[in-house]
Amino acid sequence: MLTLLPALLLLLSSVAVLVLRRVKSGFGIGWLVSALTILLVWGLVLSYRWLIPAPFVLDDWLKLNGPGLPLRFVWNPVSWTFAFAVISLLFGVLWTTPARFESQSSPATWSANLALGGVTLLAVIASSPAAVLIFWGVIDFVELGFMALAQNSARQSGEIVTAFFFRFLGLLLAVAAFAIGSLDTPNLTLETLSPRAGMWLLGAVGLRLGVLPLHLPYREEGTARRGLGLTMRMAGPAAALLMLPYLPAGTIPSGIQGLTLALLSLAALYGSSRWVLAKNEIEGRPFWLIAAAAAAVIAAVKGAVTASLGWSLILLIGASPLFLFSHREPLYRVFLLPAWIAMSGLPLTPAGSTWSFSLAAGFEFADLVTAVAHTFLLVGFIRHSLSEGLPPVSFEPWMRFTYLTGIALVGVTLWVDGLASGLITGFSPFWWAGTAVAVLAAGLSLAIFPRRGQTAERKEAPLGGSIQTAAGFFNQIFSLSWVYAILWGLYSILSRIVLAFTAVLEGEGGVLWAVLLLALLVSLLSGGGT
Amino acid sequence: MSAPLIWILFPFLVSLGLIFLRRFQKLSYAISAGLSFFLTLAALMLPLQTVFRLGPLNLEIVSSLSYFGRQLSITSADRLILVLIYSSGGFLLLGGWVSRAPRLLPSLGLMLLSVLVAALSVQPFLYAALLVELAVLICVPLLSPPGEKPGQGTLRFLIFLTLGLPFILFAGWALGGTGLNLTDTRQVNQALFLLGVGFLFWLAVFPFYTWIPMLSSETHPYSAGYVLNLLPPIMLLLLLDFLGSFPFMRGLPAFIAALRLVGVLMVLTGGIWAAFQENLGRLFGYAVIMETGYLLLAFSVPNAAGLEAFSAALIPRMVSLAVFSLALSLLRQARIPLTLTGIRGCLKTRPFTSGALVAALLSLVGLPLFSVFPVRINLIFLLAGESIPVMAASLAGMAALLVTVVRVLDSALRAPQPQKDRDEQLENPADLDSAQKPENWQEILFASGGILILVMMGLFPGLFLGGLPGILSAFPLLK
Amino acid sequence: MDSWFTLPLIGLLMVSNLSLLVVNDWRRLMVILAVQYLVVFSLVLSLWPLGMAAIKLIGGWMSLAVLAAHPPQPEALSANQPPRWGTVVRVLALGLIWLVVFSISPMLSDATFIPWPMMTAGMLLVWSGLLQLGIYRQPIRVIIGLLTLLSGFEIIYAVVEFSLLVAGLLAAVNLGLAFIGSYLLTASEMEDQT
Repeated sequence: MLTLLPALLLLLSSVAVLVLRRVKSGFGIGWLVSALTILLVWGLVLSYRWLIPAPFVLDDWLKLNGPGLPLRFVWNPVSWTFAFAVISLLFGVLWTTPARFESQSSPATWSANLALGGVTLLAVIASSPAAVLIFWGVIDFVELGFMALAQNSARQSGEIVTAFFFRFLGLLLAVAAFAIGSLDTPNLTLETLSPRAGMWLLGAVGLRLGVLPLHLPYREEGTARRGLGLTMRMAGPAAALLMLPYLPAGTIPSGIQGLTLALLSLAALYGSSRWVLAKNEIEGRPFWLIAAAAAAVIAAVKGAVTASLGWSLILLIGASPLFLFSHREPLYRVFLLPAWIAMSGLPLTPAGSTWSFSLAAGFEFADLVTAVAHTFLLVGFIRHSLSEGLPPVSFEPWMRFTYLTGIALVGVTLWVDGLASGLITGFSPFWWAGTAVAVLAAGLSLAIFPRRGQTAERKEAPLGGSIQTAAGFFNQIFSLSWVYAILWGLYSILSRIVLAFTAVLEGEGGVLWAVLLLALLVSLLSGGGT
Repeated sequence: MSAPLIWILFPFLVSLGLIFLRRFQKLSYAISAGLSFFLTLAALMLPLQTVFRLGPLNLEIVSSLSYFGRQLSITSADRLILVLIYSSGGFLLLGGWVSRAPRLLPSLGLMLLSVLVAALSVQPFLYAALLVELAVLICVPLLSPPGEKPGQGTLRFLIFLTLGLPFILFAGWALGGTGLNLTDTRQVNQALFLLGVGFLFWLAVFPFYTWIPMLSSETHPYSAGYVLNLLPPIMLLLLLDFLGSFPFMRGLPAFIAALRLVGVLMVLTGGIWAAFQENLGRLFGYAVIMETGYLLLAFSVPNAAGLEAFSAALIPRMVSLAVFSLALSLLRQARIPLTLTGIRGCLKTRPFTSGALVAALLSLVGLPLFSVFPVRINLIFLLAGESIPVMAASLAGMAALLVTVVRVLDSALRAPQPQKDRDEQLENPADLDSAQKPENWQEILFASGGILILVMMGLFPGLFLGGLPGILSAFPLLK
Repeated sequence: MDSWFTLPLIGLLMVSNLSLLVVNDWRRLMVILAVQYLVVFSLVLSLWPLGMAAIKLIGGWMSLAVLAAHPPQPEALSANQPPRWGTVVRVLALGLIWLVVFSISPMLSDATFIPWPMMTAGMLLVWSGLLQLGIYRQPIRVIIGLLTLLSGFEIIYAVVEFSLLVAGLLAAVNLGLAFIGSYLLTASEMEDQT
């Protein structure tokens, strides 16, 4: 039961917050319960790094003979790394909540945060196919529900359902992967995936992350973008990225590896360039996710499992302090530094080690593209962190404390997670790769971003001209509207064929057509029989 | 007292009486649903072939009833089948009340249940064919109620199911009447052919399923749902009953290949066809076709696990389709056109009903959290062990249905239609009032209850489905 | 079975097949069906005792009586095509079906040990019924098609099954179909009950 305890605590407190909202009208007690619960759960999860609870297995979930399909939840180094990232993220979200008391925050959103956190935690410690699929589904439906409640335009509804179509498609692909895997390994778990299953699972992860094939998730609109929005946006990727470290070597056949890497490189480049050019960090968030996810999948395709873990952590918590950074003062930006340095690629940083592990698995052209994407991500981080936010004028001291603690803790998590997961191991022969990225990013940032006292024209100039034009061209290509137009055309053609066939079978003489088809079927079967 | 008297003759006679009570709808539904639940409980609790005390009386329920040298036989092994039929019938009849189904539903619905139980329990098997035909004839007034012009779907239903009768009778003769010589492959093949074609008609297998979408788009969704929910699984149970006498057949490669081929065709064509539908009634029809396809695929797995997968899939299928048809009925009741355009904005205007519609569809795709998922994933794993292409085709069918779900969801999420456009779609200006009324408590109760059951079955399948493989005890020779 | 006896009956069945497709008058249709049942009875009489064979005749005629109780409107009987060309096409289709029946009946007879005349007579009715089901969309025509098809099947089935109960139940099925046909004819005029 200890295995599920953190998740259960989160789910229970979610209910408690809602009940308290009913019973007491004030905000305070509800938030206090959330903040204390997450502190307790954070400590509990941290302790699981050393005090690993026994796996929780529900063997007779389905009670049928056959493949069995148990529900299995496990704390191991991989699941712990993700779980700690998720919990720290939730910590950051809930502890920075007081800053948003006046706008987007309410007991309902804290409760939703806690519930979603609990579900995500279960998703990252799930280790059997049925458990993984169920919690992927739960995360999707929770997110779908919130998005459906928040959406307010026809365009947005189209974007929401398209995004979920791809995610559910990824889920079906994962079903195929696990079914194939169960042929190679009876009583399949994530730890015993075969390469044959791994290939399909990688496809499923790619689809769910939006990188393979590249497709754009819905834009950032609606309410609660910094609090609940962040938890929602990270829950799905956390559950999907968890698969990457489990993928066995030789997952992608060498024949299609080149093409896969090329497509992923494009996704990384596109995502990172849109991130750096986005109006603000919230609008750029989908592109941050695409770029970092592409980098993680590139590492997995290369067989650099630890590097993919590093990129996954960068995706989940690298820019999260920035996503929570709603109220800004010059001095507050210091609290973003741990995250930026961790992602910089300098030696002995999580990102630096990620580069070392990636290059240790061999050099590909995709690495070069990933380096450019990484540089853009870092430059974008600086750009968005320098922009102006809301003034913290109404902050009381305790609010400032919780707000800054939340942001700092998320930034520090990348270090803690990197050290605990074995990502940061010391100097490696490839230390120069990450360092080059860090130097390039710092140099670019210094060159293009204004220093204090410069004019507004100067601010806009560097990004205004040729880069914007080039970006516009790529945006046209990568907006994928042309792909959707082609798909829609195919759908229309197929629709006409299907409707014509239906008209024949359901129209006059349909009975005779059916008899004719039966004759064909019987001859086909008798041919098959012989 | 005999079991057929309790579970066949008694409900049949009550259903005849209910025809005269059809104007008292609440009473009719209360009696028919109540009797169905009572018969469910009786099947669970009453001992058969054993003397027991009921107050001062010593009673024994014998399991068979003879007539003209033939038998209706209900043994202890058949209990779970009775539970399955009468409990699903009871729930479906209960839903009929809130969905304002045709007035004949309580009486003919109950009569259908009793006739289908009779078909399952009659010996020798060939008489089942005649009882099935009787069931088909009972369905016609249900599908084409008084006051409505008979649709082409109803006529096709009558045609195709009646066409099955000669083939099943001949198969019964070929297998039973003459004493089958197993070494004569020609005779075995003939018998298999006749049986196969008969069940192609009865199960509405490709290419004889065209009547299903026609029917479901023409008639009251709940009546169509009632018939389409009950008939295919019971036809499959009849097939099991038949094969129970000739268990060697289930192992024949030709039989398995045929089941797989038609199963895959139904799943794929059902899914692809569904992806292009505008009419939600037709979509329901294609969902039924797909579900029958999955049942056939489960049946094609030639071992005990396949049979268990088949039996466990019956209830989730029924619940999902029942919630689907209930949601469609409630939308129709609110005078909302059952098309993708018609349901625009429904998630805002009728959240519970459209939520039930979306949940049922998601369940039928086989997505996690909903009732079909556990049994579908179990089936996919079993099929992977048999044939990867068949497994891939099954998943492709699910993906195709997903396209439809996404279209429904998109439509339901959009802003409601401008009032002017909506008014133009209504046939009767008086319908405007119904379309604007919010959901009442009964609609909310049934729709949210449906969603809850779908989710509970998806999360705790062992609790709901664990006992279902017990129905296989009625066919002890099948493995 | 003596072919001198059956061949004229098969000829009569062909005439009834043809008539069912070209005639649009309700009374004439009923007469044709009545004659068709008489032919079926005559064919079955060569295999079954009179008492059992009479079930076919009585059952069939009772079905017709049920159907005849509610004469349909003339438009409920005619096919959808323009009259002249529609009739030509239907007759051509029937001709094709006769060709098929006469060519496959000997093979089927060999394969199933069912005498050729019974197989031919049965198949003529089965295929004629199927043709009617394929051509017509009117409820009453569908019922007539089904009754014709079942008559054909009953001729063939009479060779292999001698059970009185089965014969009775098949007659009940015919009667049930007739009731349903009668219901479908009048359903739309009944009080709206939904």
